[in-house]
Amino acid sequence: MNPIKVVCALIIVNLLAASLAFASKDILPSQEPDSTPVDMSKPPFFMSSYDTFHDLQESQKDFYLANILPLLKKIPALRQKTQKDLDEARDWYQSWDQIRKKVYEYCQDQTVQKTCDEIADVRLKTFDLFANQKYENRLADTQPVK
Amino acid sequence: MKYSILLKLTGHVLGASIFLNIAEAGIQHLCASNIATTSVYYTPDVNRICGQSVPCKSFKKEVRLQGSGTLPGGKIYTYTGKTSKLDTSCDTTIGSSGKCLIPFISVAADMRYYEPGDIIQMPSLKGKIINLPDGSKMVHPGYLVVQDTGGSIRGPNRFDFYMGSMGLRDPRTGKINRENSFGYSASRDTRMVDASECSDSKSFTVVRRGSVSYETSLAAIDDALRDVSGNTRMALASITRHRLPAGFQ
Repeated sequence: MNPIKVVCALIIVNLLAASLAFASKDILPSQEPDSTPVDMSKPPFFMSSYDTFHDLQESQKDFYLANILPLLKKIPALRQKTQKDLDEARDWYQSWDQIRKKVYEYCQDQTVQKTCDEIADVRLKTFDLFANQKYENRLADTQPVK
Repeated sequence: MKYSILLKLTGHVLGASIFLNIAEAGIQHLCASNIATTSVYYTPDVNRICGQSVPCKSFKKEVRLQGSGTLPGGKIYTYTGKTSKLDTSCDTTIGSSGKCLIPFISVAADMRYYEPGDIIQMPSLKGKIINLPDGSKMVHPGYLVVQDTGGSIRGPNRFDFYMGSMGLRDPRTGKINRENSFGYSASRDTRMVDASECSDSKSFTVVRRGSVSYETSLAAIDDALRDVSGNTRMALASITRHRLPAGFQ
């Protein structure tokens, strides 16, 4: 066999393989982003973990659950949630974690930022119920957040 | 005549603008992102300040500044003049995390960036002897726990350090409290009172609740608190409830 023909054949095979690999990158959707779990331990914080929630004072828990339910109903995957479901999540971390995960998954979409900001805001207001009220803090509370 | 009015007006406008700029700078001032911008707060104690259990003028004044103070029997006296009953197992005050605050360990932070229970590691504090409000001493573990928040605490590197019932000054004489390990007379490594001081000693890292190194950090805090004689209430359970991360159970 002519060595030049062999080299040419090898080059052609190589080129074909490279172009196929390149094409597959463009055509086949990448599975990576979907398989990466959302890191809920870092900001932005939309909803606290069950442990954090569990540590709150009862009045804080009541405030949070009363204010979060209408917002959860804006999330398609949580539309069916009722007060009873939230009462269950209050005492059972697996139910809580299920809701929390769905909130975080929903909030990865930048187009629904308004709802997610409202959800995050309920979390902050819950902490504020027992926040330190020293003079500088009271003064800052009367000014808009920058 | 006209010129003098114009000059006066210009002076007023300039003065106001300089004042606003200074005020703005004061509000927005933050150290570099890896350096903590710190301040301190405390819970005035009626017995400590008044020498009796009935609120006196100095106590009320301190409460107006600090937001609340402690009365005997686990009661809290707030700046509005109201009194509320505390969880009896807490001898300081409850933070926004719902947990009892621990002097010289608890910090207030911006909850947009932190979850209660997150740990702030500040190496300069590690091993330093801290004077506690009850007169005992603690070897600081170099870790702080986010357990509170406040309206003026804004930004990922802004922290307000809780000092229990230990104030910066003697409320009766007004003299600087030299015993306060985070106060004006403290060493460079532990002085947290001045928000405008952005030294390397305030560099910090964050240990997130649930991360692998979280357990080690909690254990170090627990050890430091257990070594403090007469502070049996300052146990690990008062810091945070937690589950071990997956793979560590």
